[in-house]
This record gives sequence, structure tokens and C-alpha cells, in this order.
Amino acid sequence: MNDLTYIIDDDSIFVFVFKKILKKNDETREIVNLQNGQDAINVLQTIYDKKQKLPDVIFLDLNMPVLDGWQFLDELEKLPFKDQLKIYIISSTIDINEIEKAKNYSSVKSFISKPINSVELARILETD
Amino acid sequence: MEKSKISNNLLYSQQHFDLLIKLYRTTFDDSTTLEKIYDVITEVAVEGLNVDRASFWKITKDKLICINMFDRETGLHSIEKDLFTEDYPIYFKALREGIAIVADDAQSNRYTAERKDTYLRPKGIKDIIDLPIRENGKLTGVLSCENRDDSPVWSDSDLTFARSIADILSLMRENNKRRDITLKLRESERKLRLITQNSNDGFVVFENKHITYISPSYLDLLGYTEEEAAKLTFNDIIKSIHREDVKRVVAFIDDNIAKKARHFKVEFRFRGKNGRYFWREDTSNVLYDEKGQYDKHIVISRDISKLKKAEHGIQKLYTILKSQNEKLLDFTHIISHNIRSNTSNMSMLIDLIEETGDTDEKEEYFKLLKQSNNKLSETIRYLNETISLQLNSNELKVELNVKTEIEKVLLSVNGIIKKEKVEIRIDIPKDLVIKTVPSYFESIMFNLICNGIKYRSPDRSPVVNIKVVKGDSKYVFTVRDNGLGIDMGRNKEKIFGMYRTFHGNKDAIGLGLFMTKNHVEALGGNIEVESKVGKGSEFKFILHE
Repeated sequence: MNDLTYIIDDDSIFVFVFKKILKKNDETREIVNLQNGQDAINVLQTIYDKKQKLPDVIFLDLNMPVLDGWQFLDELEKLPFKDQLKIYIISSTIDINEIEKAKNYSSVKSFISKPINSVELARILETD
Repeated sequence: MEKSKISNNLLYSQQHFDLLIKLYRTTFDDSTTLEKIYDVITEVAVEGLNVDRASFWKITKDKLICINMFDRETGLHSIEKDLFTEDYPIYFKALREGIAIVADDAQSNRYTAERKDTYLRPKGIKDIIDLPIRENGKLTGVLSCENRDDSPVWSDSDLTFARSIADILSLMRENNKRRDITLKLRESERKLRLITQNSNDGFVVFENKHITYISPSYLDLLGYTEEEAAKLTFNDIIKSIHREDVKRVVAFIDDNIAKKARHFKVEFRFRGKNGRYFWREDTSNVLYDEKGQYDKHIVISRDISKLKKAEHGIQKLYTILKSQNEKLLDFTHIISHNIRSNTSNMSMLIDLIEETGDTDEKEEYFKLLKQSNNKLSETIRYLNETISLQLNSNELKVELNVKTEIEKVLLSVNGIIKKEKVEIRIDIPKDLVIKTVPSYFESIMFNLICNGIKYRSPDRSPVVNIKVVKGDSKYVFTVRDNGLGIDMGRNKEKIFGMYRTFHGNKDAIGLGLFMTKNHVEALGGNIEVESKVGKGSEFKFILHE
């Protein structure tokens, strides 16, 4: 309920569609879109410092400018609030190595492959 | 007198002196054989010491072997029978102890008495001087001078003279061993000459840092005449080595000689007579003398310039291939990601369209579907162009008038220029001609001009400057706009599109600056951009002659 949801992805079409799907899954969601890993780190850091609400769930793309998904996760490792976050990597990659790599980060709960539909999304979110 | 200390300080008598000179002259002539030396020495001994017989014997473990014996009476050289250690133990012991036996009374002398019955009496020998002959400190033989009559006692001068002769004999034997080797080497040098005549490798022999043999092929290699080369010293050669290599080479050679290495190889750049450096590989074969000291070394020199060039070529090729490979991997990644992103979006949109009954929503989704489709098409087009670029990198270069070509491009975007009221300023020499691939050049200029227009600022009238300048063996092209400018800090990667997400659905016109960069690089040039937010951007690319 009223989950604060971050989508860290710079693909505007995907973000638009995914927002729709997320809303379908839970109308009350509050959704914030960040364009790249650097923006995300900055925003999270600010929130934490101001003792504001951290997101309940984060959907993270891998391919972004400035700081991509992996770089974001690496930066996150250094931060004190990393274990308070629930992250789902969502990417169109088919590279097995990348899917395996996701398991190295404790804050990453699961790896979601694009494209995704609402049924799959519901299933994944429920299993948590 | 049993034992005599032979003093070196005594002067020779005149006769002795004359004889020694004669001996020196004879024995130091290179052509004199050892046999002749024995002849002369025994003769000189007889004359100088006024004795009846003089003989040289080699000493082995168990006997004395007579090598040469001169008898004054007959005036002939002959050989005596071997004398065995077992027969004359005291005598042999004395010899081996290095004692110079001076026996005025040979038949009763403690050292020589043993030989009385078997040798001295039968031959009527009354007096003997036996001098040890040494080589490299080791006793190798005896010079024996024998007298028959009861002559006066040996004088000190006699003894000094005798010792000198013995020394000379020792020296000659040592020298001769070396001279044998020298002869052998001369033989092998003759052989070398035959071999080297038919080889491109240069052969040279160094002795004591001087060149003692140079093959004709070596002269060819260096460009010297035989006279010039003969005057060369080791130091001259060192001076002709490239300064970046010389320290390493000298250290390497010294190190190997210190280690008494017999064989080593070294590569370096060398300057021959014509002053030009070439790569050379020297294989050194070092010869050491019997004492293990450095004697000489034979160097085989090979011109390896071609080999080095090939090596460099291979290295360069490897570097290019490696970088191309990385680019390809990168490129593959980008393309495949872009294709998948778009197809994934399209499939999600189709799902949404299916799931909704709302017409307005459906329309919204369709719009986005169209966008995705366009992006996909763009990616595919991009892929095609890049592939054809790679395949056709050797496309024909043609001579173009730069100004004319650029004006052609401007004509093709005339519509937009008019619409956006863009001022175009051209600063291009009228007669500037370059040799390049027309389609690539067009594409580059097209993209850059479009960019200049795209990033215009709403706050001022857009101006795009196009300037071309010729430098030394290169051409510098500049396209400058007064538009929005780009935040170089953040977006440096984005501009030429080297990150993994494609950019700009607003970009319906061009294929992006990534393509531009590819085109410039395919022409062997490079491109860069300078920009300031609020001021504008300047793209500069360079093409080489």
C-alpha cells in the first residue's frame, strides 16, 4: 500500500508502459523515475540525510548513461542504507553472465527480463 | 759445485751476447718451425757454452725423450735413446724438483752419478749442465749440455747464458703452441672467406678490440672499403651504434665476456657509412686461450631491418585488430541492446493495447508503438550503414572541391535552414581540393550541420559557422554553432554515443554523431567537440592528406 516505487531507467517509452503496469498492479503506488544511476545515488543520499522515506522498491535498468546499473550497485555498496532497499533489476539483456552477476548484490532481490507483463510482475512481487 | 744459483744480474760476455741476438732473430721469425728452433738452440748452446753436445729432452711421467741433440764433433743433429725414471731415480727426482744440475764432475756428482756406467762413461762425458724447461710454470723438459774433456769450471756468465737459452726455449715452446692455434685459425679464416663470399651475413674477427678479418659481405653491409674498415677499431664500431641501444649492447657484451660465454646474440641499430641506421643482429662466438683468457671473437652480422619492419607491422596490425575487435564487441552490444529494447517495448505496448477498451488509451499506445517502431528502424538502418562502412572502407577516394561539396549539403537541408531562420557562414578557400570518399564526407558534414541547427538556442538567432583550414599535411574542418551548448562534464560520452543506450527519438533527421565519428575514423581522421552551456558548440574534425 502506498509503496514508494523508483524506476531507474532512461528509456522513456519503457518507463511510460511500466508505470501503467505498476499502477495496474497497485493503484496507490507512488512512482518516481530517475534517468540514470548517478541521479539515483544523489537522490537516495539526500533522502537518507534528511531522514525522509526511502523507496519501498526499486526497479533498476542496467544500460544508462553517466552511471549504469552495475555502477549504481557498486556505489550503493558503500552506503549505509543499502540493506534497507529492495531492488529488482529489470533489463532486456540475455547475457547469462549478467544474470549471474546480479546474485552478487545482497540488495538485489530478483532479475526481471524485459518485456514483462502485469501477470508476471504480480507473481514476482508476491513471492517477496 | 753441486747446485748453483744462477744470477740474473751478471752481464753476458760479448760472445754470449752476439749468440743470443742471433738466437732471437731466428726464433722470432714467424715462419720458423719448432724443429728449426731446436736445431738453433742446441747449436747455440754448444757454441756459447763451449761444450761438445747439447740436447733437448721432453719429460714425461716415466721417462725423458730426446727431441734433438747436436754434436759439435759431427756437426749433426740426432736423437738419443729414452732415459727411464726407474733407471735413474735420483737424477729424475732432482730434475722434477726443478734443480738446475751443474755437474763439473758428472761421473761422481750426486745427481748424475747414476748415469755413469750406462751413459756418461761410454760417451766420455765429464761435465753436464741440465736446465729445466718450463711451460706455464710446469716442468716439460730438460736442456742438457754435455762436455767430454776436463774443461775449466763453468763461469757465472756461462750459467747466466745457459739459463737465458733455457728461457728462450721455454718461451718458444709456449709461443709455438699459440702459433699452432694461430695457424689453425688462419686456416679457418681461409675457410671462412670461402663461406662468407656466398653469404649476405657479414663476418668479422676482433682481437684485442681490433679487427683482424673482415668478410667482403661485412664491407657491403657497412658500406666501407677494405682500407677504411681495416682502420676501424672496436670503439669506432661502438660509436656507430644508436644512442638508445649502445648502453644496453656494451653492457651485454661485457657481461657475457665476464661470464666467459662462448656464444651470444644481440640486436641493435647501427649506422653504416651512409649515415643511415639499420637494424642489425650480431652473433658473437668468443674464443678463449689455454689460460681461459679472452683471445678473440668472431662476429656474424646480419641486417635484420626487413625483419624488424615486419615485426613492427605485425605489432601494429595486432593493435589495430585488437581495437577493432573491441569496437565490434561494443558495437554488437549496442545494436543488440537497442534492438531488444525496442522490440520489448513494442510487445509491452501491444499487450496494453489488447488489454484496454479505452479508445483514447489505445491511441496513446499506438503513438508510442509507432515511436518504438521508428527507433527500431533507425537502429537497423544504422546497423546496415555501419556494416557497409566496414565492408567498404577501401572505397574509392576521389578529389572533391570542399566548398562545392559543402554547398551541396546545405542545399539538401535548405528547407530547415529557411524554416528555423538559420544563418550559415562559410569560410572555405574556393580552390581547396581534397581526396576523400564522397559519401562519407557528405554524411559527416550533413550530420554536423544538422546538429548545429538542432541545438539552437531559443534566446538568439541561430548561426552556424563552417570553416576549413589547411595545416601541414592535414585539413581541419570546424562547424560551430551558437546554440544551447552541451554540458561537457555530464554528457561527454553521450555526444558521440559511446554508451549503451541509444538517444533521441526527436532525432528523426540524422543517424547521430556516433555515425559521424565512425565516418571520420574510417577516413583515417579524428573528431572532437568543445562546448559551453549557453554559448554553443564547436565540432572539429581533421582529415589527413
